Amino acid sequence: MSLPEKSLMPTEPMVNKVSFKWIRNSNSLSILGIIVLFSLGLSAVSKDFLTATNLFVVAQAFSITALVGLAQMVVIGSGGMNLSVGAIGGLVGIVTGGLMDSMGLPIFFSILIGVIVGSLCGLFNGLIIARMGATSVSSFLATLATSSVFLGLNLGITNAQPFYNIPASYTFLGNGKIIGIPVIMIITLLIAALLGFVFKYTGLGRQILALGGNLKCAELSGILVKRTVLITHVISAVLASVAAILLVARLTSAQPDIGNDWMLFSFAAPLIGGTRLMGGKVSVSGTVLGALLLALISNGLVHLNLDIYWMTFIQGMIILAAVSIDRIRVVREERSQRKQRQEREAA
Amino acid sequence: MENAESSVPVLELKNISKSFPGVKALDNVSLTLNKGEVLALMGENGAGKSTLIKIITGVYTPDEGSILLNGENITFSNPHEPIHQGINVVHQERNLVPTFTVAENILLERITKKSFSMIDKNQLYKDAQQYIDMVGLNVSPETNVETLSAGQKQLIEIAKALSSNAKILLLDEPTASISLKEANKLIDTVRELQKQGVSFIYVSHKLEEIFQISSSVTVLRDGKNAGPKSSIKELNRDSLISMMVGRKENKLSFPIKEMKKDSEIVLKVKDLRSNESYKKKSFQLAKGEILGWYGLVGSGRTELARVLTGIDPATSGDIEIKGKKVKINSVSDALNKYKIAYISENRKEEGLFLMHPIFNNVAASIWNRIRNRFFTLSMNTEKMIAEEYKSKLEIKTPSVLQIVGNLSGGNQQKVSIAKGLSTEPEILIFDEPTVGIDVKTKAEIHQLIWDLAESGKSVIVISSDMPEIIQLVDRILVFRNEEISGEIVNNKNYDVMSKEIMEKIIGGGEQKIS
Repeated sequence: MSLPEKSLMPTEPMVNKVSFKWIRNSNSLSILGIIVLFSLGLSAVSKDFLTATNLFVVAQAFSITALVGLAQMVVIGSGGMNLSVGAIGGLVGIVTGGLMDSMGLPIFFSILIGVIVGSLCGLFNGLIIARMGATSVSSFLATLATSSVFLGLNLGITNAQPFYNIPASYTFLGNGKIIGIPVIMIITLLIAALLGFVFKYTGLGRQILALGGNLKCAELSGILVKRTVLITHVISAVLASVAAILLVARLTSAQPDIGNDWMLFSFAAPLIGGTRLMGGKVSVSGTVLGALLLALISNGLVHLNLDIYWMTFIQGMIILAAVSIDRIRVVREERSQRKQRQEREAA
Repeated sequence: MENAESSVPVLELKNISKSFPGVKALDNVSLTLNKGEVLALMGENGAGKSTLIKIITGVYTPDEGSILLNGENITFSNPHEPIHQGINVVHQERNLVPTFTVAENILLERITKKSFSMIDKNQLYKDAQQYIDMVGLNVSPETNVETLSAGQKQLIEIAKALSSNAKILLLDEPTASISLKEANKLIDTVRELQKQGVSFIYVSHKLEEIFQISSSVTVLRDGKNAGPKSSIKELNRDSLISMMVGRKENKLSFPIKEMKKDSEIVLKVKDLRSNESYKKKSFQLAKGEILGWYGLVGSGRTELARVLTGIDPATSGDIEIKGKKVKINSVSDALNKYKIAYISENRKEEGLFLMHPIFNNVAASIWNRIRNRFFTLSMNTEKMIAEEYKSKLEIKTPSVLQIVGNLSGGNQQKVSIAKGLSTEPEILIFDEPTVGIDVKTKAEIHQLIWDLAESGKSVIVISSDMPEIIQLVDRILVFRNEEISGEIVNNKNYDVMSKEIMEKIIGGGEQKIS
């Protein structure tokens, strides 16, 4: 984002001056540094890495990861979580693909209905969570349950059968280029920019973060908590829907298992990027870069000829690392807050 | 205790200094605690009390100076060592496991020490009972701690300390969040334990209490001893305050304001009830008036305020604002439609977004008002508003970009007040506006409340601090047992007023106040 928290970090060096400083000062810039180093390493190891085809594949994977990460980031920022990002994506992918394939609906209306279905899913999540008091636990339980509901709907409708008959003009969204830039990436970056704007320049963005920062205080400040929870979950669901719609375009088929593997990296991307797990602080640019790093890592594994089965293992480790980074960041912040307070009080 | 004075002090700190980067928190501070003594440790916020306590309890090690326990030099390198030496601290924040029973909490160390041994419940209850008796509590050891009142929990903490064989107890603001009746109970307990040879260091902001309980006083000011340890008998209220603040206390009391008979009634409440505030309450508030709500903790003041600010819905009764009957459905209603702002007593948990910058906190209630026609807000507008309140309220910070969590308590409270003021309310409800705040900031906040009323706002001040109420407000409502038990026009004469208030509080006489 957005809020100038980085510049407010105390200028004094902390204890442990040398080790893992990049983690503790982790911001968009340092992730960018890692991305550059990682890319340099990969291009040195594999000459296939820096080819147009490969970079296109990376861009496609990055786009989906970024959108899913942003879908999760919005909810995390409000102090909750959305375990149903993948299930919503799966349902929306099937609806959109199914409408084009078996109903022969025009692309525009298929997408529109897909997004509407997704928003309704988000609204459903939001309604339940607002009812349950908008706490972190309520969002965990509610979306855990609804993810099964949405997935069940998906599989029930399709009998787990994919839709293959996708119009070529639709697949352009996933595989096309405009002046050499992948369309899918253009859409993703535009959406990210819009979201960044929401968090930086709108009351809505502030309200979402206020909820995550201190729910009770938000309520006492006259923020309409229930309404904000609803909107947050609708935004999250719409982002997941867009991810699914683009993924269908990329795969040129609507698979019922779209979204099955989203949950893990939906958390990884924002956490790597500096979004606070407990809410109240998000970083759109960080999440986008986190997604890029994740896309590069999985691409790198292919180039390093690593067994695909190890990917699951590595993804898990990345999440653990991301959670640790989040924890380190929080502890460090608290320490510096304590220190500043003490100094002030003593002064 | 006179004979104890002559023997070796149980605890002696000699010439303690402690620095943190940029500041000298303690400078050559000494403290002597005799056996069976209650030593009051006093000073404004930031005078160094907390640092000194942390040194005694092994959280910090001093840069210079020595600690003598029963005349022997000793150094603590971690917080466990003092406990084994019989030094225990009872903090303001409770240190109990809420879901455990009283007995389990008191003997927590015993039951958690061995992972794989059976716990003999009957023995546990029996042993715990002994400590419960020592602190004079009347609860069963099988009671769940959750169900106890704040004062009872405080006594359980003392019992817990006693179970680890504490000889020296540090009580850090023990009565800050408990009712008067419970505070008296606690004071009785301290006296009882004192007779049994336990020594106390008693940190409190409440002067009345200090005179009631302590035998001597050590005052810190700006990290130094403000003077030698003195017997409480040699001091009075004024001399103690001037020792703390280091300057002659200017009479804080505000002049008496003649309320005009015909001044507009901005708020009129009749037979109001809610689920939490279940007894009917009626009162009215005039334009430019400061109305004080005095009462014991839990007497129904905050509950009434919550109805007026739209947090809890009213179940029956009427609210009239400027003569019009209204229904307050939400906090947003109260703030935007009816111009009622509430400044919470609990700034950390309810009043502020600690991790967000000042400007963000100040503008949190008015985001919908300051956005432009494209539904966007500019950070500059927010910053401008925050800057305005920063200078108005003299919030001490280099920048409004500062994270609120980094500010001192007094400045945090000012930000919380700024957040309420930013909505430009007509009626302000301050809930315990100066709890845990240093004397100087307290005076500033009083002046601010006074000025607000002068400018035509109506203010309700909820406070358990009698001097505050008497110095500041025009009229006092006394709350007792969920009811408004009396109304007093304040003539600001402390002796007369405090007696009148006490009479209303004591009421039928079922509560004894010493």
